[in-house]
This record gives sequence, C-alpha cells and structure tokens, in this order.
Amino acid sequence: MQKVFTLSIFLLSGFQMALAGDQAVANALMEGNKINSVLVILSIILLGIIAFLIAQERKIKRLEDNIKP
Amino acid sequence: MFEKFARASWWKILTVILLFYTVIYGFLVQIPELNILEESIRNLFFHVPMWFSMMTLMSINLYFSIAYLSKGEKRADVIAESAAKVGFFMGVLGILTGAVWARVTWGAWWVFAEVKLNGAAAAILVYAAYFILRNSFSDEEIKARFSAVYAIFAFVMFMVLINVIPRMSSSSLHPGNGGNPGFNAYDLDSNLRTVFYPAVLAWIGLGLWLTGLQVRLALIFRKKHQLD
Repeated sequence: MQKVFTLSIFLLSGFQMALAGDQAVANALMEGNKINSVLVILSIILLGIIAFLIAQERKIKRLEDNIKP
Repeated sequence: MFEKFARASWWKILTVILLFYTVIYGFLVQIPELNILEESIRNLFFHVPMWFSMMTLMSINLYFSIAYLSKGEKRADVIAESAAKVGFFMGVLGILTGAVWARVTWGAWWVFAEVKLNGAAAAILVYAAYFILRNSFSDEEIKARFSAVYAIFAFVMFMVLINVIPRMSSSSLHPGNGGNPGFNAYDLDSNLRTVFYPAVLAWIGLGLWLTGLQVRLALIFRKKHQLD
C-alpha cells in the first residue's frame, strides 16, 4: 500500500520538478498550450493518489467495523 | 480526539480541492518576473509547504509523546509514531524538491556550504534515529517511553537545525536566513499568495490524512493481536 503511494507521489513530484525546475522546459511547455497536456497527466496522477486514499479509507472503515466487539 | 478528527470527512474533501487547486492553478498562475528564480518560483507551492507539513506533523509527534509520558496511554504513542513516519516522508519530499530548486537557482543539487541544507539533512537523520531507536526495543512499554523522551529531544533539535541556526548564520543562500530578506519581503506577490497559502493547507491536510490512516491501521492491528 505504502509503496504504491510513495511511487505515485514521487511521480507527481517528478513532474513538478521537471516543470518548475528548468526554465527551458518551462518555456517550451508554455508554447502551443503543451502545458495543458501536462496538467491533465498531473491531474490523473493526483486523482489516482486520491482514489487510492479513499479506497484505503473504506478498507480501514470495514476493518474497524469488523473488529468492534 | 485525534481519532475522531481522523474519521471526519469535511477536511479531507477540503484537502482534495486544495490539492487540485495547487497542482493545476499553481502551473497556470501569472508569476512575477524574477531574476534567476524565473519559472522555478512555482516550486514555492510544493517545497515550502512540504516542510510546513513536516513541522506540523512533528509538532503532533511532540504533543502525543508528552501525552504518552504524562498519561501512559498506548494510543498516544501510536499517534506519535504515525505522525513521525508521515512527517519524515514529507521531509524527504522537501529535501528532493529543494535539491531540484537548488540546481536551477544555485547551480548544484546540494551546496555543502549552505547551512540550511545541512541543517535539514541533519534533522532528517535525527528523526531516522527515532525509528532506529523504536525498532531496537522489543518491550512495548520501554519502546514507547524511550521513544517519547527522544521525540522531545528530536523536536528541539529539528527546530534548532531548521529555524534557529540558519537565521543566526552570517551566510546562507536561503531567503530569510543569513541576513537575507524573506520571500515575503520581495518575491511573494499577491498572485503567488493566492496559491501559496492554499498549498500550505493542502500539504498539511495530506499529511494529516496519511497520519490518520496510519493511526487507524495501527490501532486495528493492536486490537486484532490483543496488544492493548
């Protein structure tokens, strides 16, 4: 569970680093609205992280209900 | 109280909204024309809030460590450990995002003469020692007690290394340290603020969410194995 989450969040950070970290990359992305494609990818990764957290939330809730005396 | 908060949904929904806002609007917002920093100023929405998140979580670690020492409740130790785990993770992300920023603005992934970088690395090691210490005891009571005492020391060291020594130092590349003006004074315009403050809340919220999940999972494990 944690490995998947860590990988996802590092991917998200990686994208962010590539964008924010390099002026040439940033300029190239701003041309021809390429930034929109990147934002879509970033949003999908973030959506994946959120979906994963919500799934964990439900799983834990089920476990809590099962363990109650 | 923390467990009740960890089960509530409203703040998690807010965190999700703020995270999307940070990631999407953070790359679209009009930024000021800044020499050297240029587009890399957008890292402000990630790097700095990750450290804020770590500080918040380590404060929770400190609070519940003291609570464990005064009341002896195992739950307090579970919360303290979970907060430290997620805080450590946020700190590692803070270091990584900082390293990339350093490469662009200062020309190197790591500047060894930079007091705040070394302080951050040392602070991470101080908390790494917290986990090593925890794993070195098999007795639950001794583990919790020693860890709680160490956590107080670790938090003081963390604050000194991150916030005190860099400000006392005569030379630092970080804003607000070594006599440099802070971001607020010259770089942070109203556009950046519209993303920066929500980003701080978003990353702290994500840290609290992860901590809450860790705590609940740990408590289920303890109940299942009748450790309480």
